[in-house]
Amino acid sequence: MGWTLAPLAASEPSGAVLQTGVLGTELVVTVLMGLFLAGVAAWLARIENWRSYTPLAGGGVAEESGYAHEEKPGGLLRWLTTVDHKDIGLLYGTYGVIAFTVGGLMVMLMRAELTAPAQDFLQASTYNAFLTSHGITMLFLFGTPIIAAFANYFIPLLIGADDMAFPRINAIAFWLLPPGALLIWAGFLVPSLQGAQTAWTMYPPLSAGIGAGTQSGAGVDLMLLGLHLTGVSATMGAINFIATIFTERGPDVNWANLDIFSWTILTQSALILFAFPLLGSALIMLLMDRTLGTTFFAVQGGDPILWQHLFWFFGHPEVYILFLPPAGLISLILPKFAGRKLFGFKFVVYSTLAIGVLSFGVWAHHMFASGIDPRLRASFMAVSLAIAIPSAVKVFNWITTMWNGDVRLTAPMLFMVGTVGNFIIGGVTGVFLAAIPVDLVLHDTYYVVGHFHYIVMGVLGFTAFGALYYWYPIFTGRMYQQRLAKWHFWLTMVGTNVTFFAMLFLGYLGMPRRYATYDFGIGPVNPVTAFHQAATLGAFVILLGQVIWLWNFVQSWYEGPVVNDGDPWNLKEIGQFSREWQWNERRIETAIADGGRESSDSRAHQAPEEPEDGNETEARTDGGRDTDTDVEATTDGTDAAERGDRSDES
Amino acid sequence: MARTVFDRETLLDLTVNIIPLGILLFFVVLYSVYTPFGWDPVITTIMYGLHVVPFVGLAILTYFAGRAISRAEGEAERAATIDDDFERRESNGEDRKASADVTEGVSGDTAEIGPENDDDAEAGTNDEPATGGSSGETDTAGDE
Repeated sequence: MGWTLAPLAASEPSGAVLQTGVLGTELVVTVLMGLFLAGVAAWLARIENWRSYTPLAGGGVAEESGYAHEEKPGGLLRWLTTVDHKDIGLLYGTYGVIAFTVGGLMVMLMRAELTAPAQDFLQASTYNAFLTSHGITMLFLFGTPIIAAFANYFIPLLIGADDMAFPRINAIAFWLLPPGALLIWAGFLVPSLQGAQTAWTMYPPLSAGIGAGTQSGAGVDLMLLGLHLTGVSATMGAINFIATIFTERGPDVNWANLDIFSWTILTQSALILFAFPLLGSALIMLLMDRTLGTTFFAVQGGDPILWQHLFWFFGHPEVYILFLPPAGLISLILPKFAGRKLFGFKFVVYSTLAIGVLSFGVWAHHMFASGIDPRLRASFMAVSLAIAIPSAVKVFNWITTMWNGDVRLTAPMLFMVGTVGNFIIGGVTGVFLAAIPVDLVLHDTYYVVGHFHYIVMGVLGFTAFGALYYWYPIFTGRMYQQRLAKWHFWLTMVGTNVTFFAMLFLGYLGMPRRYATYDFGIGPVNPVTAFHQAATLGAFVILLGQVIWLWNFVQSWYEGPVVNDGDPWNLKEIGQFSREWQWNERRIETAIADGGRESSDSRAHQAPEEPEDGNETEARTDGGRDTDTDVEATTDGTDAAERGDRSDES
Repeated sequence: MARTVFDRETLLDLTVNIIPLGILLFFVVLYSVYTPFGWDPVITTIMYGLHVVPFVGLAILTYFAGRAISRAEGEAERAATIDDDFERRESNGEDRKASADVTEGVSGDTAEIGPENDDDAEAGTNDEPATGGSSGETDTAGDE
């Protein structure tokens, strides 16, 4: 760490002063300990029913479940202690949004720097640190958690489970993430630490701190530890999802009618289960190389290529870990607004499984330019081309679902359709890159950056926004502002395509990735500058869209019109009133039957939202109806819900 | 048993995974016939292994997934058929009672057999739509 004792020795106090200082310290520690114990006692006193927090030791089956707590604690304590899958889903979502904001602001600074060829306001080291942190933040702190947010909230509802199979492990998995983020961002949070500049791939010997020594600081070590924590978190979550989907399904849910989002989460969890422990092992090996002098990835005694094999054996399944659940969201949501059921449902299921298996056989297509044996490269090219088939099958199924359908262009649908378009570009560019000759030309250029951003932003980001809009009435009880949502979509769609299509051209022009400047003095600097400026312009358009989204999201949560209609998207008409909406309808009806939500009066003044077209939700206030009407509506509604259940069962 | 599980419809659904398997097979044959980089006992073995392992893995997973889904469908259809029969018998029981009231004076045999025969006839015609409908609804549920 480079600490020195010299300043301490110079300021060494005398004996009496030292004794007084020690006594003072002890006093402070005693007071702090007393306060801590008082706090613990106060906390314990708040817990009224110990059994509600302790599972039965004797395995009593007929007695009440250990999880049958009477009431959730209030305030902050609720969020710190919750094991409710919906609460944990909201925590994951909040975490993901914060990470998305941090990673997004980082890249805005990078894009601003790249507006002109020369170095302007960011140091190269700062740019590199942002680049590294942007990648890791978006993949590990936004991508995986935002998927976990939807999965936690909705998988138990979709499969008719009471909760996740292991609610406490679910909570632990989430609470590993905040310390993980702090460690990953430590290089920025602690001024004395230098942010890691290894890029998200962390290739040695650079990441091993060898050479010029710029990466020997603790910032990299802490980032690796933070990454390890997020990996442990993801693995725990994956085990939980597998156990939940296998064992907690409702009596009417079987493998034939399991919804497509659950299928994709199941496959994704299997990928996490096999991929993330390998990343953890590789990270430990790298940490040992850095701190204990081992030579796993050293040029002498080890092999830097070994890291690339280990990393990408995790890294390519990670791509599908981030892609499959969004594909599941499209398959789930798109039919709802196309008025037709998903075309070729089983095709989509089997292709999801195929992607899951084949994703472990393509890792070295990231290493075509590393000098590995051409026969091995040929194998990876073959499997990479094969995996394009199940991916393309999904696209054809989505398009066919919309074909001749009654398409309703609501905000969720716009994002889903936009995703399909983005995925076609991202996917086709990926097929090009899977061909060895093409890859050798385009490797490490902006073409690759454009390609994978079409997937991570164009697919993952878009489906996340679409799903947030789609389920907004469930997790907030309110409706967002639809005009702002459409502004959000169009700005994001235009911005994404301007930014990342420009990057494809930059790649064709040979612009290498991971450079803070491009004032090379040779080559086509003018067109490169023009495309960089286009990319920056697009990035600011995206930023504007996200500002609108954040405003709409937060403001509507507080002040949006209350949705009292259990079927705000009119899904009953098309026979797609799925289980999570049935649950939501029962919740609304139960709340009305209880009578007199205090907040209903205060909400009643909200003007009902005028739908922009007949397809949008009609959000209504619940004021003004007399009690009899309410009761009658409840009874009818319950019957309707039961009918929905039964039709689903059959 | 295997024939009933992997019927024509299921096999048709599974073709989606047979295509990537075919692509892998194509490259195995291609690299066996055309070897521009020569043959090496270690490298060539790894090369074929990189084809064979995903091929076998995908084939196994496709088989078990297809079997699980097909069986679940079969069970759901059987359950739906039993439910339909049960409901029909219940409703027919009421019909029988009603018709027995109406046809007082007619011999008991006629009163009982008549509607039941009708039932059977109905069941014969309704069974298929009921099954088809239920499988259709299963699909719908799945699509959600």
